[in-house]
Amino acid sequence: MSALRLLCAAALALLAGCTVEVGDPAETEALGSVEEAVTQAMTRDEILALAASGVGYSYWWGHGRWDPASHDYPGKCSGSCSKCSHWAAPKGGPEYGADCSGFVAQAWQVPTAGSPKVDRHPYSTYNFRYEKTHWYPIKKSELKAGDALVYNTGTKGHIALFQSWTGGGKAMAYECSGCKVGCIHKPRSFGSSYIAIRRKGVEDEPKNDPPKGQLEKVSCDGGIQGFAQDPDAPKEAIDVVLTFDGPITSKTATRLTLKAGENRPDLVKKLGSANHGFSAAIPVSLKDGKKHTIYAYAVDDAGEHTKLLVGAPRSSSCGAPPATKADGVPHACGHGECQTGAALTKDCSPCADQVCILRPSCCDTVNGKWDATCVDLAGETIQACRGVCAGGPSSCAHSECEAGGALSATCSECAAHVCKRDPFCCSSGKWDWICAKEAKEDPWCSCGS
Amino acid sequence: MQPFHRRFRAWGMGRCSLGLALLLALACSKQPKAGTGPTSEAPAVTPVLEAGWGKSDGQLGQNVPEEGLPEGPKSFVADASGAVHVLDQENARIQKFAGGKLAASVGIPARAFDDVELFGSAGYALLDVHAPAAIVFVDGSGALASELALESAEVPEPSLITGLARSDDGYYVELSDDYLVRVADAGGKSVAPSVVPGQALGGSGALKAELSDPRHFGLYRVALPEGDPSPLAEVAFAERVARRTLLAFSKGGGTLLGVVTESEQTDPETPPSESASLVVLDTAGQEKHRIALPHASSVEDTFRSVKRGDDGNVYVMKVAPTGVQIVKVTP
Repeated sequence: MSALRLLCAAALALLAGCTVEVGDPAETEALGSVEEAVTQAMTRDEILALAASGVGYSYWWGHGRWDPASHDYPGKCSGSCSKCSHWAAPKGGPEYGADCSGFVAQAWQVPTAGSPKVDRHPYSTYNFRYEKTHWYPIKKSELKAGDALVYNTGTKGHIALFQSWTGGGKAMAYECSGCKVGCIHKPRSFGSSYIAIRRKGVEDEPKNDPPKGQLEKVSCDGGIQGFAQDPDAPKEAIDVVLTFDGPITSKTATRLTLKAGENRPDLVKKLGSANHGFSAAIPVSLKDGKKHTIYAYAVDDAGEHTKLLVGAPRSSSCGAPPATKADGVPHACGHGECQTGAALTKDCSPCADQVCILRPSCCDTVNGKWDATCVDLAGETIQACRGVCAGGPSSCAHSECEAGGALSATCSECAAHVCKRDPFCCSSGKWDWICAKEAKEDPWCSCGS
Repeated sequence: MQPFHRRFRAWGMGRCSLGLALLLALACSKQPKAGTGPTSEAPAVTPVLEAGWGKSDGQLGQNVPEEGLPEGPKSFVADASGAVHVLDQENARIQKFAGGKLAASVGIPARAFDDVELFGSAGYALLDVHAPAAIVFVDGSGALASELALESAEVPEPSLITGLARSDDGYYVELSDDYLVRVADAGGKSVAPSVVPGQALGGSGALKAELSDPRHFGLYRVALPEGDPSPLAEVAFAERVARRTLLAFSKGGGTLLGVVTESEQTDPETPPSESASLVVLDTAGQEKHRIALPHASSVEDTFRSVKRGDDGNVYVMKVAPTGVQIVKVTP
């Protein structure tokens, strides 16, 4: 978690005698003391990470401070602001919370960078609406993650951080909305009173449209079929993530990543090229006669967009296939999943099951075989096969959920995701406890509670 | 570039005037600029409610903080008789208006509710997406009938809920403007969540609308229970689509699509102007009418401002500086 590392870095800096000030409840940064400072560079991900760390805190009129590492003291607000009262909650802890403008100033780290634990409220919505010190107005159609939407009538105003648009045109926003609900993350409409503003010093990225596609069919026999395409790279095959029994944000959902690269001549008319189909069998583990939910997402190359496909999600129930031989003994694989040979049966191992979802011929005992492609699939990115071909419980040198030596980003999907968010973990020579904590919080990792 | 956290060390009115204002605003509401489909003849738009701000009976609560999100009524529902029930959450009550007059006022729990649907013969289902997220069912007197926690494997982030819907088989929540999850039966009892890949239910199918580009909505009909989507129509708009306000089946099985569009913004400091319209399509997806809806540029956050009533009409809630107006549109 970025915010946690920020806190730790701040603590280290303090120990090292640096001038960073962290966590003194009495401290409030003076307004305008460093107004002339140049706006520090910041990425959109950093802005969103800071904003996300403030969700759950109370609304505190005229203030802006929270602990990004722990939500032990969210604070409490009562009344109707500005005639409202705020106090530390639970009692005895530091007083945390923010109003809408204090929240955005912290997330944007303006006028200067500093710990969110230090209270500051350098700007009101009036400043954000009518001034251009560390930000500037942009067209609403140009909004990108980490920009803001603000209105001010001269006496009243509101500001929220923009994250993304929903398919219906609502804005996913981070905001400290008011005394009743505090600081929240939700989709909502912003009327034409609002203008869009962008923080200076935020790297401008090229336009990136979300991918599109469709989950066309789900059937017990025919499996899962659909197509997906990234309009920014219309001829390339992109990833499709299937999740079962929960959306992609669910930590308990089972997931599979496929390449939407199957040749589908019927797609040429619709998409301009043919290699965008995907198909997969229903996992054997879900053929238990119970209702299961299947979600399908297209993921663009930049990883910026994860788009739920039209036709998803949907519920399906398939009867249990024979999982055992007539004698009641489970099948064993005829050979290792990392060796070529005769086709395996999908119920001989979880790894074989997942490989055969991606490539049914690997388990076609009549016409197919377990060829080099099946071996490659087993050795690459399939979760149930992790480490099978490396000879250990994981191809990573140690569990991603525990501190230890540096791991390679290629040893597992979990490591790849942690290192994408926090390159330190794969480049510093050490997988520290923060990396382990990040793994525990990452939906791509399976660390348990 | 190093991530942010790795670089830390380096940082050292009266009712009369309200009515006049609202009628004036209605008369001045813009006709949508021509899309590719036909526009309607003079639409049947009838005012059914005008209410000023306040706490008295017949008034509706408003809260505009100095630094925060302004709020008025978040949502409403129209029953089969055409009566409208307004979620007056600022005053912790539902007010029922029939024939333009207050017919009932029902106290509800003082929570940050966002949406309302009818429950039973006279009760309400109230959606609270904030922690602890729940649907609260109250009877006609406002007494708590049941409370249903919303967080589940299928709804891991209740704050992403964008609507509450009622069907013959129970209650659904809409997630991220994308799809529906059935969470309760018609009696308000919890059910194992099941999903529908669309945003509107009716008959044996569902509807799905998705922006295919800034000026086009793709409409799909979803066969149920299979879930297979098939393209129904591509609806074009002359201006950029700001947001979808309604997707519903019409009485005859056609489609009702409510949309707010906005003008091209030339100066970033001048907000674009908005227009609202209702597109009516027949069962084959052919556009029949395009009706201009009343629309005001209010600062108050409204969760649902356009709904299809149980009588088949479309109802539009417009928030103005002086109060709230609800009009009925007969598609």
